[in-house]
Amino acid sequence: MTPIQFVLLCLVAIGGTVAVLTRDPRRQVLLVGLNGLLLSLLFLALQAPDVALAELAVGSVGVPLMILIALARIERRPK
Amino acid sequence: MSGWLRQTMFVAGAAVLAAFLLRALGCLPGFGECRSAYRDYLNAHAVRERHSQNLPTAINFDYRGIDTIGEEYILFASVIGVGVLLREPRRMKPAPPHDVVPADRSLHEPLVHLSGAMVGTIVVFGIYVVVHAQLTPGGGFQGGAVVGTGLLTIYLAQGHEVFARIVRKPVVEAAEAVGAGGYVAIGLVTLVAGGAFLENLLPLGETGTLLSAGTIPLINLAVGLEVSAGFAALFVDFISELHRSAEETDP
Repeated sequence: MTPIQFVLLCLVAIGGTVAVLTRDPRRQVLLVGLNGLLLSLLFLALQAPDVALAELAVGSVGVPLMILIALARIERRPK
Repeated sequence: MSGWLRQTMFVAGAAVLAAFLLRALGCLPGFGECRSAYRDYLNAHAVRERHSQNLPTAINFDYRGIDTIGEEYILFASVIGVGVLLREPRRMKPAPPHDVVPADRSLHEPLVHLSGAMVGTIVVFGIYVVVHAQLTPGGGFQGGAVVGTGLLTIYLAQGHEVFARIVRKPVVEAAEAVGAGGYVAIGLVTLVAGGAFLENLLPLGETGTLLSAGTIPLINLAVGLEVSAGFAALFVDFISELHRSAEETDP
């Protein structure tokens, strides 16, 4: 394992844990997106650029935005 | 069930699971030491056999082409599921345009301009990834995801009204269906032409050129269309649901 792979692996582990331990959904969304970015860098370091590309588009843009939209929708629900 | 009993059952179950997981972890090959005959064979022969420099694409869309149909239809089914869950109630009027994101444009001006400038770049890059499936990393799935995300940037830049005008639901749905059906249609054509289902019957061309690797680029075009339209359909459903509910609560 190269040092870059090791560092990224640790960062992904830390990022995922922090995202789980955060309780505010809005902050959580941002952390999930950041973790998606770290994951795609890790995939790149592991020589899987195609997976990195998919993770970048889905994990750091698509998923966070859909969660944000869902959150906005829930907050608008009439009581 | 009492709290004590539940806790005991959880601890016992978790202990058994942890034991199995640790045992499995001990049996894994070391980091980067995995060897397989299939991998060695493909590394040695795939470029010569399929004229595709990108081996993952040659595997996904040729050697294991039928598996990838299943993968594609997972996305297709998910998008249909979202569409059914979020479908417009019949009696409700469509919500009038109501921009949630840039409520106060002056505050978000840099974001609006940056997103607007990036839409074209992202979409073109996605199309590039799709058509270079057999040459460079990526392919229909990755490129399609990039195109879908690029379309979403229109929403960030211009809000709901412009997004709904450019990304139209019927067009997106038709494109998704054509993409999903196209993959199977290519397989059926190879059957009619006398080969096996999805057999690579087209001329393979010269390795390293845009029109090489036989049916692989065609299948990737179909998958790229399906994935980008599928993503766009998801975003359209979510965004119109958000704006419909905005209309319901504050008329």
